[in-house]
Amino acid sequence: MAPKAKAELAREHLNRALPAVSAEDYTEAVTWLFASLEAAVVGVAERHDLETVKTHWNKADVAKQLHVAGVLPEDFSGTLGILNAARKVAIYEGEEPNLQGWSLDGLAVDVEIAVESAERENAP
Amino acid sequence: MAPSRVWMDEQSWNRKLAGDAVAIGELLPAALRPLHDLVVSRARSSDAHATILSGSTARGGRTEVSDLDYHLIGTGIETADLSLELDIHTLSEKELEFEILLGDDFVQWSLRLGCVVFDDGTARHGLRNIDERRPWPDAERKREHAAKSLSLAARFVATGDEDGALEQVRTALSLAARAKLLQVGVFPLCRAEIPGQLDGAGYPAAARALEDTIHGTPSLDSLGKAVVEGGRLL
Repeated sequence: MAPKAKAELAREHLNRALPAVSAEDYTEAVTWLFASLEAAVVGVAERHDLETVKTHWNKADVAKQLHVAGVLPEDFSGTLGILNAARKVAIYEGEEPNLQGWSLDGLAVDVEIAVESAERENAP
Repeated sequence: MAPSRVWMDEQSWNRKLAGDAVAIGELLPAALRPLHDLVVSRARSSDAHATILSGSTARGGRTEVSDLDYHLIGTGIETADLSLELDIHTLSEKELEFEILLGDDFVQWSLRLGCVVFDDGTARHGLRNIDERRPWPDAERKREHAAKSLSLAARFVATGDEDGALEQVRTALSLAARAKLLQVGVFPLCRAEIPGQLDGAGYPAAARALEDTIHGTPSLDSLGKAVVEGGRLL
């Protein structure tokens, strides 16, 4: 299996998340949404020569920087934080996570905004 | 590893608290000290019953992707303005007791191996509960979480997302290793220490695979093989 471009992965992961969002399968939904949003952020960062490292907090910092620079339409660092905490609770503890007032549908809509930005930034 | 008996008398407990304070000073990286101080200050202001520094930091086993983990017994604190590096697990007193009796291994981990930052007697009582009522976590519960996580990890590898697959495989293999170690009577330490424990328990291939996900940059093919090793542990 060859590695894929981040913008492409972001859309594919979002598509994997959506059936789980509809079915309210929290583990699948928040894990794929988180992966989609991180891939979208990294895809935009790469386009703007912003370096990212492996840590989730670095990617959240980069998301914030990209918003401040006017590249991303909103600051996705908060959504990354909610999804990161949620996927840990779902995976490690097998419990329904606290989405801090968000619904799965609302989070999916937010992630899609980032995915669309990554696709626009990486369009040929 | 038998549950700690430091809860039994005042002198032993005070000695533990003093030792933990020294350990926090030595193990916490200087760059994380301001974040730690903020967490402790907010926890005290919220009238938390106890705060425990947990995870790899408390074991001196941090890696480049380690979070800064705490167990906080109380009503919780505001963290939205703090780094995502922070991972605070908040439990009420009742939830603490419930999780211990349910066989949750993470809460046992924090009470057995974490560094108590402050405690009004709740953490001490938790240790007593472990000792007297639930001396070993539920390995089967861990195995169920690991099986689900391995399935997810296998699908991540198939997507071709190297970063996402590495994260998921590391998580799933850690869970599978913890389940296996609990099953064979070894209390799992922090993630960076688990490969050594796995090797010692007779699972060298899984140990190498986990080590590679912690310190290396394995290919997608290697990650696929690591998932298979995780499955063998279960």
